[in-house]
Amino acid sequence: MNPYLALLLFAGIAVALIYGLVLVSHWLNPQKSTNPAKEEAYECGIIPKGDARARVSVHYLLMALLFLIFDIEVVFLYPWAVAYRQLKLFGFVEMMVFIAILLIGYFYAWGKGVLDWK
Amino acid sequence: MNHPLLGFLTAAGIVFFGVLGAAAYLVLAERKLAGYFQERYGPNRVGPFGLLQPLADLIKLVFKEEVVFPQSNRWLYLLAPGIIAVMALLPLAVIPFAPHFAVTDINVALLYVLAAASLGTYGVLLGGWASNNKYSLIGGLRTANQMISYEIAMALALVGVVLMAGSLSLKDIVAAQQHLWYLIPQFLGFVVFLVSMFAETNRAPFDLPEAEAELVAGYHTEYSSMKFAMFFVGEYIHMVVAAALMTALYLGGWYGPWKPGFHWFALKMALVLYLMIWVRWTYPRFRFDQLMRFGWKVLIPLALVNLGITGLVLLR
Amino acid sequence: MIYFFWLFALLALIGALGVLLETHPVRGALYLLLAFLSIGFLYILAGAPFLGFVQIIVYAGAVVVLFLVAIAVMSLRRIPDDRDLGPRGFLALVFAGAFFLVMLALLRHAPVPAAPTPTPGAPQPLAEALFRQYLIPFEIVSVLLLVAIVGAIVLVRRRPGP
Repeated sequence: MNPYLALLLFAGIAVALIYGLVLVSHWLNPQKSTNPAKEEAYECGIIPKGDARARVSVHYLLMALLFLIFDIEVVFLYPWAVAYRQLKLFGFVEMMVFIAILLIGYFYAWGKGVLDWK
Repeated sequence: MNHPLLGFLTAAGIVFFGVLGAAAYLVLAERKLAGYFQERYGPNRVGPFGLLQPLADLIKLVFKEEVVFPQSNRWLYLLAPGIIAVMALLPLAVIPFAPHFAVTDINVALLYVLAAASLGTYGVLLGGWASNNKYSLIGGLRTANQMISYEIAMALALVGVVLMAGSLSLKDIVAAQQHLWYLIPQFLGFVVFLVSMFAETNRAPFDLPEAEAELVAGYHTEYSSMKFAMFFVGEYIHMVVAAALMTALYLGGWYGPWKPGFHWFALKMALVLYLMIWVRWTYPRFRFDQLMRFGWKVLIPLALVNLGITGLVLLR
Repeated sequence: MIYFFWLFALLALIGALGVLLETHPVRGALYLLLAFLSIGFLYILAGAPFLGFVQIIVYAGAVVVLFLVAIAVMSLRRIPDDRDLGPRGFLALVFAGAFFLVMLALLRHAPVPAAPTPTPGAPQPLAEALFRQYLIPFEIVSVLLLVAIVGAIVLVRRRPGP
């Protein structure tokens, strides 16, 4: 059997199993919520005020951007690691240069206080 | 066509029911152990030693009142809880539990594991966003930030293992550890991986999403019944899978004397799981700024150092 | 196998169209996720699982997460439906159609390269090519990423006021 077909089938079973459970619970559920207060957002008993989707700190976005960039770096590391025994010293130097250039960016972010959450 | 399909279904069935059962009893084990750590008994009413507790929990969760929001994002709200559980289950397809037992094996298995891990973020992001609750939104964003930050540390730590094994297939990686578990040469990487796994499974000391003192229950505040259970079970499935990954990647997988391979794999997994529970009930929670600083300023540099050292050592 | 190709190609198209037509930002981002995932599956089908998973990790796992975080941070609501259907839109349609035809013609006449690798999807040949043959572009990528880091920080961070 093609391993990727197996992966797809496996994922299909996982989805069916998990969402099947949710569905079964939905059908078996004897109670329906009747109290309008239950349908309000839970804010420790205080009636919710204003928009739930308030603006939040832009720092979250900055972290996601940094994540994206470092994710790309990591992805390059994997083929390198697999072929490392063939690439030898050449590969080592090559990757150290790559990482060193990125480390400049990393320390720039560090220096600018991006890695500190206030 | 019939025969291989049957083999696949058998293997997948064993893995699914094994892991779901393990996750259910892990909940009980955690509650029992927590009880002993705190000098109390833990659940002991349902069945002998509380052994039927998971069943009772399941029945209770299935029949709990379902609160569904009348708001606009109903589909997203219903979709989100399953995502974590599904993405936690996916890596199981490539984990070799015994020398000749794995659902399947591909030559880029580790990337597949990372891909599943990276897609798990959607569960918390969408759940937090679709709940229409301020706590949920902040909780979802925080958790997403935590997961993505520690994902980088985790992926960087794994590069050391790949360097040593020269392959991305988990089967090859385990086979390469016949004489020396990677725990020893990759100790630094193991520590980074272990810590990032605590963060990836959203467990203490990194259980910021449900920092109940500040965020009620974070992204799953507004979830009830089976939908809450999916977030909850997702965490435990994630633990089982994390333990299996750690066993395969660092603890020599099925290798061990006297007993058949599967026993060793299970034993090592159990030890890792015990460690995870032990840590959870021993350490207090990090603050969010400490958590992010720790991930970016300690774990990622450590993983890079590990990478450099491994590369240098392999050069000789 | 060909059925899987059609399935994922169709899903990718649905995702792409959804991004264009959806006015709700989060749902639009999810259509984008669908498109990225399907393209990842198409890579895997084409015998390049390494690229496929990279596509899923980077695009589906990071880029769309970034978009969702951006939507939450800016608390974006429904995007006003201001699609321009006047003369400007018509012109755009003509150009898009012409571009599509050119691409189609190119694809039909382009020489089809032989199947590249004897062992489908093994990461080694890719690594050999990337780290020997394309050494300079690879190192330039790191400079590009460095610029991206600096750019992101400069653009997002304002000096905190007194």
